[in-house]
Amino acid sequence: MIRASAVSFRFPSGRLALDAVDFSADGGEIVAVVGPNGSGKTTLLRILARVIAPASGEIAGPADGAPGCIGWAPDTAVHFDELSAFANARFFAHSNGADDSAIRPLLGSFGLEQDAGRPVAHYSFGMRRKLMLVEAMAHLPELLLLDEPTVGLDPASVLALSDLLHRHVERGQTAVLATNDLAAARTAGRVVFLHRGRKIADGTHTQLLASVAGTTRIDLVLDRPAATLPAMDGVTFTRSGDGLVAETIGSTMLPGICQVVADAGAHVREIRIREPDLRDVFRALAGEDLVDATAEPVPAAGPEPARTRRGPPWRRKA
Amino acid sequence: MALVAGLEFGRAMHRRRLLLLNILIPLAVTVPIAFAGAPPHHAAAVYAVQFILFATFGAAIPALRDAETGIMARLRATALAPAPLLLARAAAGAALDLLELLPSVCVILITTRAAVAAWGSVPVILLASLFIANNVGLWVAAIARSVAEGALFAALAALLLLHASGVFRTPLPGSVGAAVERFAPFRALHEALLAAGTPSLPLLPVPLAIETAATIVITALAARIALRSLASADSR
Repeated sequence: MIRASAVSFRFPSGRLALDAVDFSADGGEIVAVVGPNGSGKTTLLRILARVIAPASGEIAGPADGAPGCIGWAPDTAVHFDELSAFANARFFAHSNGADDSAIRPLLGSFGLEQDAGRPVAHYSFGMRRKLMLVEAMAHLPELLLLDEPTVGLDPASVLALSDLLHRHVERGQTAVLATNDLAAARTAGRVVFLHRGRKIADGTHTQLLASVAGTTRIDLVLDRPAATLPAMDGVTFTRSGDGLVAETIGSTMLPGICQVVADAGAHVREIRIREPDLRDVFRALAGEDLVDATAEPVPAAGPEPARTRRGPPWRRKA
Repeated sequence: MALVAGLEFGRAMHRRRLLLLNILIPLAVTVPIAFAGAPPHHAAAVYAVQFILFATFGAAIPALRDAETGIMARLRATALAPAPLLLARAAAGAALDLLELLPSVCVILITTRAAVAAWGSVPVILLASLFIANNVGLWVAAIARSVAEGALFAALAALLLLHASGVFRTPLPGSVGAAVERFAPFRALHEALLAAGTPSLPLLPVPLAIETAATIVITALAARIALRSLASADSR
């Protein structure tokens, strides 16, 4: 359905946003692109949506065929604010060669039918986000590209989105979600991890979790950050926010773990023992936490504050 | 094209305050000049500058604003082809500009005791000139890096083209200026505003028709690059 081969993208500043990333998503598949801020998720989706061109690499997919086969919901909810929600959705449906037939049901799915006639300027953040999803789906595209689709959504709308995505792929169509929300990633059958512009893993949940199977994760919430990373035989410590994650086998070493943490200058306030999840997989692969791996971010190709500098077209690669 | 033009009209009609200001502000400039008995050359120059800057800025700044908010990126992700999209935007912009400037044009035609022919030809010539100016505004938006830079470039482009069109001078016959003026896009508008009282004003002068067609060709050829530039404005 969509193939990206060795796709790279570099900002005019010279920073690399994507470095030779291979990506594919087939019909009937939901793929989640997961990574911390600045990992290149938004840039990848913008390239797949043909909004920006990669510096190198190739894209093959539905945009090569009939027009209107991509539905893209960017990470910022941008609309024609003067117009009503219905007028916005109708414009995007018509501009993709579709009629109005799917708009009302979609607005209903997200609880927007009562406000469909109101100007979008009066919408809340969450309503704007929901309208963005409606606009992306209203022409029943072959390929749905949703950037941070659950941000700002209430729980009922998250469920509605999940239901709509499953119905979308049941028709043999494709959905790609860019997210760092692991709950949203669970909707997907396959997960692609991006870290600082590189693809570091690609597989089903089962395949990815197999790499950390058999170990136990102990989340340690501390009263203050540990001055040094504790060391202990049979336990691997990594930082997670102000706390620590101890990776070990079983939980028999817990008293010793608490002791070495105290020796490192911190006191344990809360302990959570759990099975490993995707966050642990990412940490094992990237050496950083999924949430915290933004210490030296690569700027996303998503919207930045207005009045950022743009090079003239003849000096730009995208 | 009708879809995009309809969108632009819809957006403009919902911004009622801006619509009113866009009618009143040109009137506020036009009325004192028209009723003060200013020398025709000076008055025609002011009107031409006002109308062309109005259209050039009016196209460049909203385009840059739409680019920076991400609207242009969203439009690029649709099935709309770049050339019809930009041309429809320019055409709708020109038509809206004409509607907003029409009261000012009426004041000019009344105070200059315009011939009947001028009531037909001046709006047509103005519409074609506004269409060219709207296209110039879009070209400017595609190369500008910010709204401020867009305003600067729009002013520069419009004033240079107005100067080349002979709005600010009387070129000597046979000079380079006179030769350039023959191919400059806003000459017809300036001449129409100067000669509104003469009964033989053509509805659409041939050079202006050619320049309008050339503008369409240039925009169509550059549309892909221009839209790509505008669509990536929020990705810097």
